[in-house]
Amino acid sequence: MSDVEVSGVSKRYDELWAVKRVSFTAPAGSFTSLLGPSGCGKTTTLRLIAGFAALDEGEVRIGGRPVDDLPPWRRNLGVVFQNYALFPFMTVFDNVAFGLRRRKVPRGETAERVAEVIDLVGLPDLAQRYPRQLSGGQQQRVALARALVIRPEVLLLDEPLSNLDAKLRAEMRFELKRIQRETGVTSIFVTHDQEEALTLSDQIVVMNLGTVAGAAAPKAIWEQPESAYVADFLGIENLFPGTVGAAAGPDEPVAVSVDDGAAVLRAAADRAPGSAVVLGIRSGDIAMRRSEGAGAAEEPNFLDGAVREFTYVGSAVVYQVDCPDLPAPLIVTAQQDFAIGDRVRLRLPPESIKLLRPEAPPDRSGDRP
Amino acid sequence: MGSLFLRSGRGLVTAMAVFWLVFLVAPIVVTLASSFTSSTYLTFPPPGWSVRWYLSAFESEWVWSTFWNSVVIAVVSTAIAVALGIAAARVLARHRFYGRGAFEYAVLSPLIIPGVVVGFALLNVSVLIETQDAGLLNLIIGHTMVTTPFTLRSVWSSMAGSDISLEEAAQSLGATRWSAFWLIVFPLIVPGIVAGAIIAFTFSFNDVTISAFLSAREARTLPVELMSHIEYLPDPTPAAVSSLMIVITLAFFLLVERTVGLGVFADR
Repeated sequence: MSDVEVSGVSKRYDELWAVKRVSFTAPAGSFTSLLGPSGCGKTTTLRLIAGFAALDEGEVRIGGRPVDDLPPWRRNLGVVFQNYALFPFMTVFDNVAFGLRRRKVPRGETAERVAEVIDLVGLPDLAQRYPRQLSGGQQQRVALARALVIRPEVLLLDEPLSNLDAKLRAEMRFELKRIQRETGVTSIFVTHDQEEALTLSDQIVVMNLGTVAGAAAPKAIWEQPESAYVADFLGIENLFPGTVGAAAGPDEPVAVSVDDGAAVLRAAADRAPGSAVVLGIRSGDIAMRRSEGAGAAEEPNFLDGAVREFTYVGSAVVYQVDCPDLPAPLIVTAQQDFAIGDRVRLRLPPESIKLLRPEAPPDRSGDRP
Repeated sequence: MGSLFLRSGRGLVTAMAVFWLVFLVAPIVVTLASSFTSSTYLTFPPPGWSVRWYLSAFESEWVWSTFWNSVVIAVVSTAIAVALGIAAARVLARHRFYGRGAFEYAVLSPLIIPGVVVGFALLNVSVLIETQDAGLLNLIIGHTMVTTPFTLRSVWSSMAGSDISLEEAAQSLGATRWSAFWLIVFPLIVPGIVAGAIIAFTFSFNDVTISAFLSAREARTLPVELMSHIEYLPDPTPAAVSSLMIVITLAFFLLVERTVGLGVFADR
């Protein structure tokens, strides 16, 4: 197995940098996700690794060897496409055997290896069927089998689950995890779905406008996202720009005043006074109860508000709460029932408030990456 | 509503069928019938029946020589048009470049420019570069020019069904750019190639307007020769030759229908 080192890779299409100084390393045998919204450059990065497009600057190394001068057919990579890209006029067997035939593998061995990999991906006996006769899930497995049969150094997956329905997608997620563990192939997986990235990956590389916004293990990126952008993409619902004030003392929470609002919240974090931050808190970390007294909350990290709207999501209810001290409504998840207009008191625990790095969006134009 | 729509639809179909019978089938029937006439001049209905004009056609040197000219021109120009059509379709389907639109319109322009204009223009050019006596060459060039839009269009539309990711998949599995094209793209565009080639061949074999300008003394096509015969001689040999051409064309389409199916003509 080989690791993949992407260093300072840039690619320009017309006036814009589709990918700009992107660097990350996918360790050998690991599962790395490139996560980001459409147009963030994640697929372009994958295509540069595969060799389908030529990079303008930087270097891609696979197993320590620079591959930028190699065409795709010399890189020994397995690629699974979003639309599967199965050869429509070939049977399942011929599709899977395609790579082995290009490698002049003898017939007997070809048949053996095809049978082996078809078994690995959990396909029933469909070898003589054509792609159009298969279900979406089966086509997906054929695409995986075809990419794996050549024993690639790296497996590249471009949103392979996005064309499946929700139930099948969850099932294939487990399958993908199992297959990756059994083969131990270094995998790079492109997705816009944070849940997919969190459940599958050893490492998540979050991308934004052609640049890397943050890279870490799922747990680390979930608990302490580097920047406001990463936090937003990983579903931290409440984000407010603020300014750090003075700390009450060493190891005491710092007070952060919310910009465009009267709220001052304490956060268990260490930041220099005066620095600009983004306060982030998940909807589920906020405690909400009916406010009894008429007086405003005086204790730290308590806010008063009124329920504006709610949506029932099955396991809980998600509320939108208007707080006079905040510039935008707060999103709160609660088990208890509240009605629209109910006056509520909210507690935002200091240890749940994340102070995130605000980020200016990267500039995609210009002659230099 | 529905039944009214259905009824007017049926009326339209009937009208089309009548139109087709009167204007397309009737002339063919007239030609076929008058080719079997026993008289020495063209007339309908024939006063008596005979196959003498068919024998005359088979014995006429001008029929054979121009027939072979037409076959050679049609085969060669179709082959070149198919090759150019594939190349141009590939460029247009896969690449974005400055002047792409201009290129597209340039290649497709013979479709909208009248054949007379194309023929006259080509004649002028051949006179200018002093190749006006190389009739066969001029005819092949002219026919290639006007049939390439047909092959381009049909190949292009069949390429639309072959996603770029198919080629990339093949390349990632070890196929070079060239073998990815032959192993994956080519089989997918065969129907488009066949359809384009048939249209190009038929057009070339039947063309009069452009050929009339470009035919030199030694290189005349069958339709051009037929036309001048009909113009100057009253004998029914051209009717027999026309009938043979109709039969050959029908047999050709029957063959296509039996082998690849006429569905290749449908734009998918």
